[in-house]
Amino acid sequence: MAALPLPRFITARVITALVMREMGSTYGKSPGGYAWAILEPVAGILFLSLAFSLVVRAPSLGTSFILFYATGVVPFQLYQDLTSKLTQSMRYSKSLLAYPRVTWIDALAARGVLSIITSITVFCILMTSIIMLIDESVELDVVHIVEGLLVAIISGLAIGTTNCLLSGLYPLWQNIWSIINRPLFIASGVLFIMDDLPRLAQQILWWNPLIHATGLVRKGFYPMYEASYVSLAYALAVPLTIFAISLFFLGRYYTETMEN
Amino acid sequence: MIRLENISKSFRTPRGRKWIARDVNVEFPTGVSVGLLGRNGAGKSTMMDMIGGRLMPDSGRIVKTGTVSFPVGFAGSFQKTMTGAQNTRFVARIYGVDTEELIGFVEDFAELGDQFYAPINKYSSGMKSRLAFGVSIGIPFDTYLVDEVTSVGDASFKAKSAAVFQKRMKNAGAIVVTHSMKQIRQLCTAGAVLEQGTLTYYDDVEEAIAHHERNMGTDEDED
Repeated sequence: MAALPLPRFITARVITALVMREMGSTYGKSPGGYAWAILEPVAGILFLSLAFSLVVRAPSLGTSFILFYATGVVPFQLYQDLTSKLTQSMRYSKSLLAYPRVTWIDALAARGVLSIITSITVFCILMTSIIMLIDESVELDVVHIVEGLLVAIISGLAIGTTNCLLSGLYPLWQNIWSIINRPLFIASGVLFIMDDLPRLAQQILWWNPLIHATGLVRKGFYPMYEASYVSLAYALAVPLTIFAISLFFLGRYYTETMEN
Repeated sequence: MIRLENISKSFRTPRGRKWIARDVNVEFPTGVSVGLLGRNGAGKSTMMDMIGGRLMPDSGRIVKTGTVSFPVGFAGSFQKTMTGAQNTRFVARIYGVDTEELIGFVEDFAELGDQFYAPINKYSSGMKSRLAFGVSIGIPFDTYLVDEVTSVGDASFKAKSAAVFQKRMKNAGAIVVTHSMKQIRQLCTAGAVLEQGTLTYYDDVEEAIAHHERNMGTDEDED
């Protein structure tokens, strides 16, 4: 057997191994495997489109219900999936952390990387298919789309890391968070655009970074839409700060988070 | 070579601070098998965890040349929902050894048959230990950490394990913790005694055993 290579690129190697192991066990087992990553948002978008096309004549932007809800559902699900994967990350890799080479940050990073790659792939496949299927001429502004997805990713990292820390230290937090989290789907502008709302609601929801994410993504898909309320600086700065603080404390307390 | 430089480690206990290491400076030479001796609770396992990298010392540093294993035969790091093969593959990946080569070795060595491809949570403890021993000994580390390896399997499996281990010891070193002085004499040429925060290294394992037995106030094996 060849001599064991000395430690080099350990982090990359370990994260790759963790990602491959998760791909094998999460998507490898259920029948259909990776297809579910796409089928789930598709079902959500179709359901919303069908339901709302019975209630209102046209979506807030453009004429296609499917495109309108897809531009809200998919970025929101990116955030949602990333959050729940990171929240469970320490427990998910608990025993593997016993190898000195596997660190808590590897466990966190591997779950984040896989979730983000999967969501971005799903986003690209879905949006491309939708644009080809509907007969609405779409002019993409890639910069705004990327900015919107970036806000969703950073928000997911922030909330996922915070929940990983808090639900590990205080199991009750998980219940509290699921109550807070429930209206978030509505409060993130998945079903409507900010401009539809009364002034007071706008002022409150503006503080939610995710409504900037959906606004930016829609701005990228609908050239006529200005999304004038969006502040990229705010929507990145707040989640980044939360992410940094949570990472710092998770680094100190990750062993404790695994005990519960 | 593993060199402990000014290593200190202590824990708070209800009866005051307990020192595992107090400004310890010791060098374990390359390729030597060292028996780590000390009474129960002296902190042998904590010392092993620091050398392996699972625990950080409170102060000081540990300089290592070459690679150090995870504890030989330790099954606690296996992910229970993954199969024996998947766990083996994972370890091969993080240590950068050829995946198929290690799988081939472990499958042949651990004698698990088809169960090798079943999830670990279906294994008996004996099966887990055989798998764990196979995985750790299948990787060519420079230093193996052996903490209370209880022999597993039938006589022929024990003989096979001992043979593979001895073969590894031709090119590698080890740090061994066990209560059996018989095993220490079998596996180690050097020894180190840990007591009340000091670690004393002896090139000759017999001197270390003599020191340890004076500490214990007995010249018999503990068990």
